[in-house]
This record gives sequence, structure tokens and C-alpha cells, in this order.
Amino acid sequence: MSIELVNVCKSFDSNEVLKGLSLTINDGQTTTIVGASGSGKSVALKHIVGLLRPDRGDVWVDEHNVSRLDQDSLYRLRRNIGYVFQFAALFDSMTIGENVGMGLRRMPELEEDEIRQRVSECLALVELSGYEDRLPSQLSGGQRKRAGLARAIATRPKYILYDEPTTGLDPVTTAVIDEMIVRMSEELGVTGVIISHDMKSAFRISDRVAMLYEGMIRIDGTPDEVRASDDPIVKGFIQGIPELMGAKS
Amino acid sequence: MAAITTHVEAVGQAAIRSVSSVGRAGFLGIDAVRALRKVELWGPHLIPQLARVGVESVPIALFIATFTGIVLSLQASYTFTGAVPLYFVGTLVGKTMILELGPVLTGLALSGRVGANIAAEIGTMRVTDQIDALETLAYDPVAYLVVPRVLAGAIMFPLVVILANAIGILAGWGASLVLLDLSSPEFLKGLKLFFLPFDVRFSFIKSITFGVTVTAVGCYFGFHTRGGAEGVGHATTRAVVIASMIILVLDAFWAAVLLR
Amino acid sequence: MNRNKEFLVGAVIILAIVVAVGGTLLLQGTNFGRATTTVEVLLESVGQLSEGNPVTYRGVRIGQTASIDVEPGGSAVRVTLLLTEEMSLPADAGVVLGPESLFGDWQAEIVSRSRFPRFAFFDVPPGTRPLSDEAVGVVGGYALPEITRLTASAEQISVNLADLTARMELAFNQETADNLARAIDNIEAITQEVRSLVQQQSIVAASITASADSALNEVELAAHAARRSLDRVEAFVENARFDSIIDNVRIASEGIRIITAGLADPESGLASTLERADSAFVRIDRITARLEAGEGSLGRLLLDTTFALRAEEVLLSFDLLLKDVRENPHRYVRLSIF
Ligand SMILES: Nc1ncnc2c1ncn2[C@@H]1O[C@H](COP(=O)(O)OP(=O)(O)OP(=O)(O)O)[C@@H](O)[C@H]1O
Ligand SMILES: [Mg+2]
Repeated sequence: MSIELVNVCKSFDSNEVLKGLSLTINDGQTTTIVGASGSGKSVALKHIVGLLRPDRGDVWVDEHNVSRLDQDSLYRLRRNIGYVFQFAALFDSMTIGENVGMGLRRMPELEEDEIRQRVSECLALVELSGYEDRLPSQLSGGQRKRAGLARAIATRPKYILYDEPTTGLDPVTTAVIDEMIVRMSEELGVTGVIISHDMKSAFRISDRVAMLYEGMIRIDGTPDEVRASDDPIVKGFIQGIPELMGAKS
Repeated sequence: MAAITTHVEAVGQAAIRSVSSVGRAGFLGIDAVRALRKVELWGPHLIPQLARVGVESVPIALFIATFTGIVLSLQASYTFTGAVPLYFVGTLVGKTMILELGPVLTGLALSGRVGANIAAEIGTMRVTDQIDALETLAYDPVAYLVVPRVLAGAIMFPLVVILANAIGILAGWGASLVLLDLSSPEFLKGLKLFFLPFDVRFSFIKSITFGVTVTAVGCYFGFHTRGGAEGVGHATTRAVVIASMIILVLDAFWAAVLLR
Repeated sequence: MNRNKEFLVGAVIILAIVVAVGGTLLLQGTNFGRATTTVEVLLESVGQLSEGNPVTYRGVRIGQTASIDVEPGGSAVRVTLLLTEEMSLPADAGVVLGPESLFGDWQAEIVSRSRFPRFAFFDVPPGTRPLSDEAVGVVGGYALPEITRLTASAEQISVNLADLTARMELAFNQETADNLARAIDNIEAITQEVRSLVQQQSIVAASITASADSALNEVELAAHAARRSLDRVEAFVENARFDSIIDNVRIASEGIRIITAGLADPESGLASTLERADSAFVRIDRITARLEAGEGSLGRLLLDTTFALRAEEVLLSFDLLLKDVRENPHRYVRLSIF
């Protein structure tokens, strides 16, 4: 049981974004994908839930080839996956409570009370207690992002894909979210895939770190291995020294 | 030479684009038919959509019908210029309203009102990833968004058109009483003269297809919106233009098929 | 909020269905729960009658045509009339189908047959039972000939007449005299038929009808008179055939005298006949001219669909013939005598 991307290629018109990306994400681990803006991190993540289909290559989740699944099986598989969108993607015609409860309402075994209970628990986890009846438009960008996070974790999925969960949040909230991600992994055994630009927290909370560069995985290892890499591209990226990267490419 | 090549390429691209959008529309249609079985997804949204497509469109449809009816009766009497018996005003108002202007004018007005609204709504959901979010939450967006809207269009449109037909005829009647030298029995005589129950069925069938067109075209352009707020604006405009064009083509189609 | 929405949706749906069903029934002329009488009519054909057309009795609308079906075997058409009143039929009831106006809508009129002796009502075999239990009886009906059919035969006659006129310029013999007599017979019949049609149909354009009617009257008289004169011509022809010319010089000259006198005498005979026919043609001309010139859509409609134009053609040919008779009376007279 794991997530595996094998030689995934994807282009939009003439823009080749992924050029043979291969990455294995082990169960129970938290993997952070880093990479420059526009390098295709979000695109890679969307392949895992089948929002995008690879032009070539395969995406395996729980032994299922995502790009070959029929619609019903795909939706069944998705119930095991939570997805935190980079820009929250809250349903703006619904209240925050309804947004968070969306996934739960697809679970017939849950009573209305339990749903309400779970919604407020999840909102508490992201420090949004009491926001159930607000509309997304009444929230700040950071609050929306946290509400999106709450929506993704509400169904207690086996996998959670975080697209920049902490970007744009203040340091204290960032720490809270990081803490939450770690707890999800340790207490509930959730497998996490995080896209992050925050190298410090990436190294702190991840079991593995992978770097996406020019459509492929440049490095994939434990935080220590990545930190120790002497690949100038990797070094330049994690230390924030563009000259190093430019020299090589 | 280069210029010619560019033109040829442009024609080729346009052809590919239009074929592929027909193809995409076809896929959306197939998906929508398959999504019909997911009643648990679209069921709860049907009533709100019925209200939105149907109830909220009634005022504008009746407004248009009222003035159309008045104009029809005045124009009819103007055209007849005393040579054709004036009770034919009733015939003309009734026939024109039921067969043509009721469905078509309502269809065109609602492609602006309902079709644009749907395209903008779904387009915004598309560009802000809300449709992807539905997917990840295991909600089939076609079942959740498209089916209730198109069904609402198919159900409510003919009903709105029937009300518009009735109001149009009543307005034409009122106008011929007040503005023309025509009595109620005469107007009714003309109205009944060539009336066939088939006319109502024709109006009904036509309106169902118009309702499906307006809502489905709105959904299609919403679904395939790209590129932020500008894309939403573009999708909205296209939805209105294309839906109006399809309505007029369908209008001719039904006339050719059902009116011999 | 949601309850409110549901209520509004329900209201629109119910209202629209009520309007659709109610409006359709109303415009179809259905009678809601009123007492009705059903009458079944057997006919040769139904002309332009269609379901929903009104039924009248003495000019009053009393019901509508419910159904029209060809009888099994195809020997007749059975029309079911639904009357809104409880009513008993006249003893010799018949049903006349005909146009209600010139614009194509027909009606079924319940009449007493004695008023229309000329109409060939369908003979309902004695003991014929109505199909429906509610029907009060089965009566015979007659569909007025359609104006288009009438004009077609009138056209035929006008062609014959024109042909005859051409031939008469070459020779006037026994056969042409016979033909002429037959043509005049026909024209008489046609005018009779058109006139009775005009009389028995309620046509909206009342004034036009009136002048057409009186014009036709005169044409009929003209035809009568013309035939009388021709009879005389024929008599001479007969005489000329059976007796020798010399033996009958006296009779022949007498005949010539009568004929020429008839032609010359402004008070009576052929000359006055021709004059009267002339005035009839002038009248018809006036009507058609008026229709053609001023009356817009109606005029065009009439010209296309009614007898006016056709009748004019018939009469024009007839006019040409009579004119020729008047201008060259000796030609016809002499030829027929010798
Ligand atoms: N639906 C799409 N249609 C066309 N091009 C797309 C689409 N999605 C992504 N792209 C393109 O793919 C490339 C990678 O986009 P992606 O969103 O994956 O970047 P990213 O690595 O997530 O960047 P960031 O860190 O800024 O979010 C970009 O050039 C983008 O323009
Ligand atoms: Mg991204």
C-alpha cells in the first residue's frame, strides 16, 4: 500500500511540465515535495487523485492504476484521499461548516449529529472553532486555507495531499499546522504528501524530501540526505542561492 | 506563400477546435446521462435549481410576453387594414404566440438570464478549483452540477413558456379590446378558429429542447472555462451567443420536422 | 427559505399545467359538464369539415363536430356532432356541411330537408343504429360542393365555349347549334348552382354576395333568353332538313323575319337579351375590378379562391360569343337556315 508515480509525463499544449517523473511515497510517512514555482508540483499532486491524467507513465495508489480506473472506482479510491488545495477551493455558496461536512455527507454511516461533531472537531484542529456559519467570503486568505485543510482531514483519509498548507500563514499558525500534520501521521498513521516552500519546516516534519526540477525528481531522500547533497541544483535551491543553480543548468 | 500557409493553418486549427469542442460536449452529454443514476447527488439540488431556472424566470418571461402580445395584436390589425375580418387578430396573436414567439423569445431571454448565470457560476467554480475539490470529495461534478440544472431547464422551461403564451394572448386580447375596435367574442372566435391542441404540444416540445439547450450550453462553457475572471467572462458571453444560435436553429428544425 | 422555494416551484408547476390543460380545452371549445345531445350524420363526403368545427341550427351555434370517421367498408363518412343543448331534431332533419365564411372554416348546419329540395342528402338505410348509445339518431347529410370544384367545371365550360366560338366563325351547322345549346344548358346549370350556393352559404362579404347574386340572376335570364332564340334557330334548321328549301321559302323567310325582328327590336328578343347580358357582365366586371383594385388582401384572397375570377372567364367567353352573334347575326341565321 503506497503511492507510486512511474515515469509520468504531462504537457499542456506545448508546455512540457512533467518529463518522466518517478516517485514512491511510502505508507505512513510524510513526504515533502519542494521545487521552484511553476515546476509542476501541483500538477504532480493532481495526478495522484486523478484530477489530471498522465500523457505517459502510470500512477499507482493502493495497487490501483489511477489513470485506468473507471469513474466509480476512482471515486471510491478518492474517499481515502484528502486534498488540500493551494487556494483552498472552498465552495463559496456554502458555509464553512457545510464545506467541511461535504466529504462526511458522502459517508452514509454517519448521523447528522456525528457530522456536526466532526466538523467542529476539525475546525478546532485548525483553530477555526465557531466559524461554522460563516461564508468563505467572510474569511481571510489564511483562514480559508485552514478551512480547506479541515475539509480535507474531516473524512479521516488514509492519504492527505497538502498543496502548500502553510504558505501565507503567520509563524504561529504555521507551527500549529505543522504540529497537526505530524500528529496526523503519528497518531492516525496518515500518509502525507506536502508541497511546501518552507524548507525549515519541511526538514522538521518530513520523513522524506523530494525535489522537483525540470519535470523530474532531482533528489529524493531523508532530510539529512537532502541537506547533505552536494548537487549544486539542490544546494542552491535549499540555501536559496540562484547562482549555484544557474551555474549548472 | 507564408501568408497562405498561415491562413490554411488557421482554418485547420479552427476546424480541429470546433470538432474537439463538439466532441467534448458529446462527452459531457454522455457523462450527464450516466450521472442521472446518481440521484443522491443531484436530487437535493433539483428544487433549488427548479426555483432558479423556473420561478425566477417567470417575471421576465411574462414581461416579454405581455408586450409581445400587445404588439402582435396591433400589428395584425395594422396589416389587415380593414380588408381581412378583424377577428383574425385573435388567430394571429394566438398562433404566433404559441407556435413561435412564446418559446423563442422566452428562450432567448433566458439564455441571457439562466444560461449566462450558469456559465458564470460553474466557470468560477472551475477557475477556483471548486470543481476539482468536488472531485476529490468524491462528488461527481457532472451529477452534482450539470444534471440538476439541465433537468430543471427541461422541466421548468416549458412551464414558463406556457405561462408566457397565456399572458401574451391575454395581453393581445386586452390590447384589441382597448386599442382596437374588437369585441371579446370576436377575438375569441379568431383565437379558436384555427386552434389545434397540437399547437400546445409543439410549443411544449420546442421549449423542452430550448430549456435543455440553454442550461446544457451554460454548463458546457462553465465546465470548460480557463484562465481566471477573464475566462469566466468569456465563457459567459459564449454561452449566451451559442445558446441563442442553437435555439434559432432548433426553432427552424422543429418547424421543418413537425409543421411539415 | 427552502419551504418557500418548494412552494413557489410547486405553484408554478401547478399553474402552468392548469393553464395548459384548461387553455387547450377552452380553445378547443370543450363544454365543461353541460348537458349534451349527440347526433350522428352519414354523408358521401365531408368537404372541408374538421373536428371542432361549429354546429349551427337556424344560424345559432349550438355545438361542435366531435369526430369524423370513415364507415367500415368505406361506403360513407360518419360525423358525430355534440350539441350543448338538450334538443330534439326536426322530423325531416338533415345536415348541410358548408363554409361558414370565405376563409376556409366550415360548419355543420342542422336543417329541415324540405327547405333544401335540391340537395342530395345521404340516404340513411332504414334501421341504421347510431354507434354511440347517447346519440339521438342518425341523419343523412350533404356537403355543399366546394367552390373550387365548381369553378373547375365552369372553367371547362368556358374552354368549350371559346372552342365553340372559334369553330362558329368557320361554320355554323347542326352540330354546332347542338353544342351551343348544350353549352347554354350548362351555363344555366352552373349559374343555378353558383346562385344557390351563394344563397345558401352565409358569406361574410354580404354586399359582394348580393351583387354577385343579382348579376348571376341576370346571366341566368340571359342564358334562358339566348336558348329561346336558339330554339327558334334550331326549329328552322329542322324544317330546312325535312322540307325542301323551295317548299319552305315562306316559312324560312318568315323565320328570317322573326329572327331579324328579334335582333332588331330593342324591347325584346335577342337584342334585349344581349343587352341584359351586357349589363350583367358589366356588373361582374365592376365587382372583380373592385376586388382587384382596392380591397387588398381580401380581394386577392377572393380572386384566388372563389368563383369571381372563374365566373368572369366563363362569362367573358360567353360575352364574346354573344357579341359575335350580335355583330354578325346574318352569319349565324343564314348558315343555320341554309
Ligand atoms: N490546467 C492547466 N492548464 C494549462 N497549464 C497548466 C495547468 N495546470 C498547470 N499548468 C502549467 O503547468 C506548470 C506547472 O504548474 P504548477 O501549478 O504545477 O506549478 P507549481 O509547481 O505548483 O507552482 P507554485 O509553487 O507556484 O504553485 C505551469 O507552467 C502552469 O502554467
Ligand atoms: Mg502549485
